[in-house]
Amino acid sequence: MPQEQYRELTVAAVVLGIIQGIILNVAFVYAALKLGFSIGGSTVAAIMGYAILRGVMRKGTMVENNINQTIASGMNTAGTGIVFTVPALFLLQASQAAQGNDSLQFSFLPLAIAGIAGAILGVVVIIPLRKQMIELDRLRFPSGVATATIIRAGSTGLDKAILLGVGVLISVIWKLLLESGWLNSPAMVANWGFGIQSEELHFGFGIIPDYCAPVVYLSLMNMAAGMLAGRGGIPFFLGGAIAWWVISPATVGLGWAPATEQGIALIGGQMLRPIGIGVIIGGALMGVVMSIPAIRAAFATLASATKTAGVGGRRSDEMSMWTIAWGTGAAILLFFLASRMTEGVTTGQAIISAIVGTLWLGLAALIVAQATGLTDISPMSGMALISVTLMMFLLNKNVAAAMVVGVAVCVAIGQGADMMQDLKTGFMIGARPIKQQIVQFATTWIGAIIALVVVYILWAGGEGDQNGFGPGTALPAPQGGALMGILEAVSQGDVPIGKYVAGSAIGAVLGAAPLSGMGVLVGLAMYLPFSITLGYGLGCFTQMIVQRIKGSTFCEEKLVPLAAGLIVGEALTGVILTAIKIYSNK
Amino acid sequence: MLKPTAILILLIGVVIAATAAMQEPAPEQTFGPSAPFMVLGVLVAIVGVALWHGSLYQERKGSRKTTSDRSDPFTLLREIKSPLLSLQETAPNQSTDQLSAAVEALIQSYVLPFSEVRNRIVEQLGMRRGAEILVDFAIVERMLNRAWSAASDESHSEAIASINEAIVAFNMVSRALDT
Repeated sequence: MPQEQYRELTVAAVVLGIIQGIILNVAFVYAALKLGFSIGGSTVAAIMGYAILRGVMRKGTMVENNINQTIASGMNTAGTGIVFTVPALFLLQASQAAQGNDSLQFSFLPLAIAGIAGAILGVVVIIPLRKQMIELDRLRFPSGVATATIIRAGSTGLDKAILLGVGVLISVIWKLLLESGWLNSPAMVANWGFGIQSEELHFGFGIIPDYCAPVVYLSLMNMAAGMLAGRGGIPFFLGGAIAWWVISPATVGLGWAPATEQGIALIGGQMLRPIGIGVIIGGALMGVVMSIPAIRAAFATLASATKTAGVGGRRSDEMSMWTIAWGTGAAILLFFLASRMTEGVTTGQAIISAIVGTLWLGLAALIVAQATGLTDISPMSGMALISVTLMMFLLNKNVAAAMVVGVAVCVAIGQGADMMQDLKTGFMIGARPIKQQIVQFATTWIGAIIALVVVYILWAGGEGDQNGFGPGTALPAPQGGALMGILEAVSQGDVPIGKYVAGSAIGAVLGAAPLSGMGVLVGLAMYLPFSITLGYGLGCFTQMIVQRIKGSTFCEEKLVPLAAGLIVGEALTGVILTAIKIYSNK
Repeated sequence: MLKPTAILILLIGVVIAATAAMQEPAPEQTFGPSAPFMVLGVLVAIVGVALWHGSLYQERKGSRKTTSDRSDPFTLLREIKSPLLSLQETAPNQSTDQLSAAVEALIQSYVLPFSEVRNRIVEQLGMRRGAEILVDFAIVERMLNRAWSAASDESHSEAIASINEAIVAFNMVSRALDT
């Protein structure tokens, strides 16, 4: 390579990062609405970064690719914060409207401003803790380490990018085939209990009863998500298997539901779903409790950071405290504006919202960053639930206003954890932290807006320009459903409290198990249709078998990029088709 | 054996509790008649979780081992000086491949073992002084990582510049240790 300045913060890296960030954001919002959990984008961004920067442009460096993946993963994570909260507003509004209640009103702008405020605040509150968490405490940040490994592997990046492209192509073609309906065989399904209908493969053969859900969703994205998880995704599959292969037959056997179509709808909609919501809630809250060591460590970190502030200042590679202070001020102002613009919120309430919300947001981001650094598991669901519930009580049960805070907190949490992961990656490859901080600060708020737009588009893709996601649709939005359950319980009280409590108890016990996130995973599986969980489980088993036969290196080199491509391809196709449908309807 | 048993007990408890919770309560009731079984299931699941934690504790107890024989961070800091200076001297005449291998060897031999035992610096010197040394050494490590990346990217000049920055940071560490 000729003698020239070592490429790091370049136009190419920023542009590529933003483009990838948009693509990943759109794809993973779709995936999260279907599966209920987010998928990290750093790996995909790092792989594609090498393919474009080194393979196509012939001049990419490792630190330049790091800038690309910092932006892309930051934008993607901002979207996660949106998809865990905002769908609940749509679902709740539709539910209330169906009962003749039009009181819940919300609009795009306050939510967008809250998302931007959260994105900025999440980055600024965590930057002062970089030195403490990464250089002094040396927290593991496993995802950050994994991304550094991919970046350092460099030379195999092009092969991985090709596999990723192949995965995209395969899943786009398969998705279009399914959407076309050419594979549908409803007569076979009716007569033989076997065949394809509405993108699902039925395999009951008239032998396996319908209350055991002998159906698998033919989604390559679904199976690919399982392939990425491997053994770690087994609790998710197990939750669904227990729900539909043990609990459902037992319910029918005990005479609590008939073995008819209505009975099966009762089992899924009125029984398993509310229990699943309870399990998610209990598991998420227990996740916060299990983070108590991280919470203690976070306060210790804060205390140490105040003592060591200024150490190393002579060669500080951080954003200046003035920039951080201005950013914080601007974000709090945006937070205030977003709250004030929400219907039913007074100036005083908006001030309380901004102050309490900012303080809680800072604490939550710190806790989640610490938890992520220790375990790679982020108790984001639990923090979002607590945030919204807390603000519901502070703001006179104003759902829209509470959700504005919830959006900001959730986005901020994601940003804080993501920033730390990226800074860990940067440390391992010798990047300048200030450059990563600048690009994250400057660009990742875009992710919040993109994600909001996608959520609005997908909602409008349903019948009558609404109900494009939610129970009974192709995008069940389980996290939104769980949050809606809490909102309904607090604001109306008209919910199956018994099932929520029972589920919460089960979720809390599962959340205390040594397998992080078990409560939330099992709850999601009980909530979702088994056809989705079964497809995911098939992906997990595929990865486990391939790993046993070909080894883990093969899985990392070949299976991971292929699976990532399958996810991105189907998700993007799904969003684009929805947008086309909306446009052609209008 | 304890771990699979614990997981099985947990699953049985979850199945009992969740199945019991499926029963619809009577109107105006919160829980159905099978509520006691739901409570029983939760208790069984708690036992399973407790046994699972217990099995992991037994596993950890049996496999404790030291990760490094080089347990004195001060010795490591003294030992790294010579190879670091030698690297700075020879770097201009080395190819990027040779540089990358030399930096990697330095990181594996001194830098990573130091990070494993770095807490003793704070224990012996106190928080403020210890943190100063650790932050400066973190810069040494980051610059060596940068040198490796630059050499792997065939940017010879950046690799040398990064090594020089690492030396400057190391001199700060030495001064802090001497005061």
